[in-house]
Amino acid sequence: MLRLTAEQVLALAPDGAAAAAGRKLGAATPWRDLGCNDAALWGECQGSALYQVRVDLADLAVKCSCPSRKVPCKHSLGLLLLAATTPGAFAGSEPPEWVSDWLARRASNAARREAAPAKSAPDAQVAKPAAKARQADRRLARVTAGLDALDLWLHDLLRTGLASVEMQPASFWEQQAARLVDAQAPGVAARVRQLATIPNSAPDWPARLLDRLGRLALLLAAFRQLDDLPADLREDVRGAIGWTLNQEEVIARGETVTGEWLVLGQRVTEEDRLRAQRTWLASAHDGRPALIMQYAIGSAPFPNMLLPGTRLSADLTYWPGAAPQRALVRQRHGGPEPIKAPLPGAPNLAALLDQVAAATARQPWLDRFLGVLNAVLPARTESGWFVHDHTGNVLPLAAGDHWRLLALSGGQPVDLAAEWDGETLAPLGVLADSAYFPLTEAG
Amino acid sequence: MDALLNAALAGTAHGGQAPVAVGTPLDRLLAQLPADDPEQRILLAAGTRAVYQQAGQQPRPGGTLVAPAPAETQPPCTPRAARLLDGLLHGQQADVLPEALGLLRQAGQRLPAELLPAALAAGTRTTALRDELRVALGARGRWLATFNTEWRWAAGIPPSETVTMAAIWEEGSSAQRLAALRQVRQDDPALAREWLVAVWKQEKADFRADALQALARGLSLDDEAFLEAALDDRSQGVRAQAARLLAGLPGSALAVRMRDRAGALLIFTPGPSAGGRLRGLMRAVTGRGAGGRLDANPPETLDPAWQRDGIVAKPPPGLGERAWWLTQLLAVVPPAHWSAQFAASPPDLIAATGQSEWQWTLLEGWARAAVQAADSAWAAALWSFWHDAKATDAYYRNTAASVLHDLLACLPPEDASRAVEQTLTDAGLTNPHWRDALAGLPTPWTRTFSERYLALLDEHIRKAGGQYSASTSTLLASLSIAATALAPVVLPQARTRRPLPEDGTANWQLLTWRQRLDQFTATIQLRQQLREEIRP
Repeated sequence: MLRLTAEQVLALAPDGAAAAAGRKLGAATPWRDLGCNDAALWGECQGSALYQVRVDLADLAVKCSCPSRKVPCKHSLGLLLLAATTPGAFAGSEPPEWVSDWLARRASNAARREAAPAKSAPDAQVAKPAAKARQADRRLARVTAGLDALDLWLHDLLRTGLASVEMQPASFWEQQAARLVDAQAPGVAARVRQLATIPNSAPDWPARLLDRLGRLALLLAAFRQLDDLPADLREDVRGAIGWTLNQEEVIARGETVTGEWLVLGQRVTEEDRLRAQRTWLASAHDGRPALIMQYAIGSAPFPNMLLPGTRLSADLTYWPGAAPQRALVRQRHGGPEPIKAPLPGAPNLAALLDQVAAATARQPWLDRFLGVLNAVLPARTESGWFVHDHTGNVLPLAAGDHWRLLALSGGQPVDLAAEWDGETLAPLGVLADSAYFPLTEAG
Repeated sequence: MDALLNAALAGTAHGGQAPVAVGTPLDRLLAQLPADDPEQRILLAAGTRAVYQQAGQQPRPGGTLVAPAPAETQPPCTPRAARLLDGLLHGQQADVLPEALGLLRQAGQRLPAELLPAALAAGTRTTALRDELRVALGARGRWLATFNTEWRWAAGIPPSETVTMAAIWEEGSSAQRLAALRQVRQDDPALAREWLVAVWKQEKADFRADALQALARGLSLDDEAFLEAALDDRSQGVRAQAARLLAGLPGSALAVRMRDRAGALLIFTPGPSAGGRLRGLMRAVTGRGAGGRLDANPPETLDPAWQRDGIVAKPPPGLGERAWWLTQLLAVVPPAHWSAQFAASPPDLIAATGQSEWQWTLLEGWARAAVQAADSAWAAALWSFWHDAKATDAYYRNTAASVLHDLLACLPPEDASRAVEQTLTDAGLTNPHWRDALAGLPTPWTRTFSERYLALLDEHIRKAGGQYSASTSTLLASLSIAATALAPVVLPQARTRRPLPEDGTANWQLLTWRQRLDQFTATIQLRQQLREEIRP
């Protein structure tokens, strides 16, 4: 049976309208033939027509016969909500054909996906190793040329002085970024594009800009000595510059960790029509962080449903690297459950920053870290928002309102999950009274 | 600013140079930088330093901590109730929110912590919710409110035994001083007046007017001398406020003056037979009166003494001067005075105005007076008249809605209900004030009224049989009022689906009506859910 709270179900809604409509359908009235077994939930909803709604409990995949393009649609949300609030409405039974067929189809698709790389990979290697090597050489040459040009540009910038960029238009950075995209170095292009936001953004913008330029220069210097770097750091440098790994490569080269994972928070950003979702997970066992990045076009759902505030049993595979952070969910074992136990966190702020220092020492281009803290006090003062630890130290919270966090703590210590960007903590969620409350908007 | 940043800002072409050493363990790395490439030296030194600083971040020692929120004395509502309230606080069917908060108070429950910021924001937007919210917020919510000045309305009273009301009165901001004055007025009316008298001369006009307003509570003849003096204040606002208070103070010299002035203007000739209420009304409406005759003779010019007592010279647009003066004069005389003076019931006196050219002026003056004096007998009679009769004069037609609203509001709920109940008929639907009357009734409606309303709705739909009229529109437009006002006991009955048969011609309108009915059913369902979820 489903073990989610209604809040967590509503967090799945693609938008506010779907959440509101789902809330209305979360009562028993419009439903008939509700049923469930270990694998799935199902029911028929009487709307303007009769819709068949089913949920795969393993990964909360939903399917509804309605014509809505939203995923999950209001009927699916209504069914999940009903299951969360009134589990008694679902009779344990054998699934009807329209449910069992769907589950069988999903299972066979999954099996095909698992089998696919094993079949195709050797073929590809046997078939065109020479072509692939040529292609890789060509890209390396283009990237090297692109980064050499960037190096010249950086030198010019330093020769003229950073004071000169204050008056530069956005195109000054954009052109450089576009050249790097052409040079097949999208990672560096993104870093250059970020530089454009710094001038005049804060009184200390010159110092920030110099920091970023310096780190970029370090990346270029590292790339020039790529062959001398340890193998895992080489992966990080290649990744930072823009070489991507596909899922098979990650699985082949990265470390797989099986365990219980806490989904602590999620942020979605949108650029053009591409939505990017960053979800922070932490191992329930030792607090090891994992960052899951997913992308979707328009209003399409993200492929893997990760619900902040839940705990799931899964195999995660990390991207190879010196301080692995990004990971993918390779296999789930069983449905999600709400987080209730204390978070596996740092005992105080200094300990958290020690973790950051250790990771930075292994991989100096990391600039975002998961910070999980035990027993800290959020506080609102005249100079802004802070968290206190029991040793009397403080760190600032990110700009914005943190009233829900303060309300949930009530001036008592709480376990806090946040993202540390080197300067401030951006809250992801808080454990108060044995319940976890995500503090970011749902994606 | 540091040397490295200075070098980068200036540029190597302008003499910028990376420092050789910065006095940290980084110096060992800096020494390895290429000497022949000054730009690269600056860049790599900056990059190294950025990483070094990121790794070396330390938390700062913090200041003192605030006291935690006091322990709660009430249990939170159920998670399901919290979810419903979450939607209401975020503006979905927000018109049900007052009822939900009332249920919480009855059940002795509070909002859970995660809803407090939304609840405080709702109370900041909508003042009318604040009283209920202060209770529902619980100790945690009142604690939270102390951190945000916008939420001060909800903040628990700061625990400061040393700050007495007198100190606030002497040193506080205007708003604080008025609050202190109101507080003291409640406990010791004479002391409050003495405070005010002591500082009267040195206060600004706005403050003086607001401070007088604060005396409205606990007003007595002891205040009369002070208020009478304020009638000669240099500020118009203060004078008007003093006149208002004195007029509402039974037995005050001003009230007596006004009553006598009004008495001199009204002429009543009793009829041969005083009729019943209904006959009297009929006469008034039809203008065929046989039960007595009331007329008025307002003055041609305004006596300055009247002005001193608060009569405003300039009429609102659309109203003549004489009518305006008469209205104001009548408005401050409790209407029971006329029933006693002329030995006639309110309906009879209303009927007796039927032939006067000042009929509507009299009726408006009395209506204001009835509201002011909270005289329900007069208010009921006047409401029936204003509701059923139609003024020929545009000014009074335009005033009717607000007069009716005020009159209804001053009736006891059962009387108001009974009065409006008469209009729950198909014929009543054609009255232009029908919807306003419904909206003006106190909520929740009585059981009888709610049942009559539902019966009217069902019968209208059934009788229409697909042939709809303007009345259908009026009736269905009232669903939004009924949805939140119907008595809780009729909710199960109200929830039945009401299909509207096709009429084939006005489909777009049918669609609107169906939406109204769906919305109505949804609100009723929500109210029922709230009642099931929020109980002691």
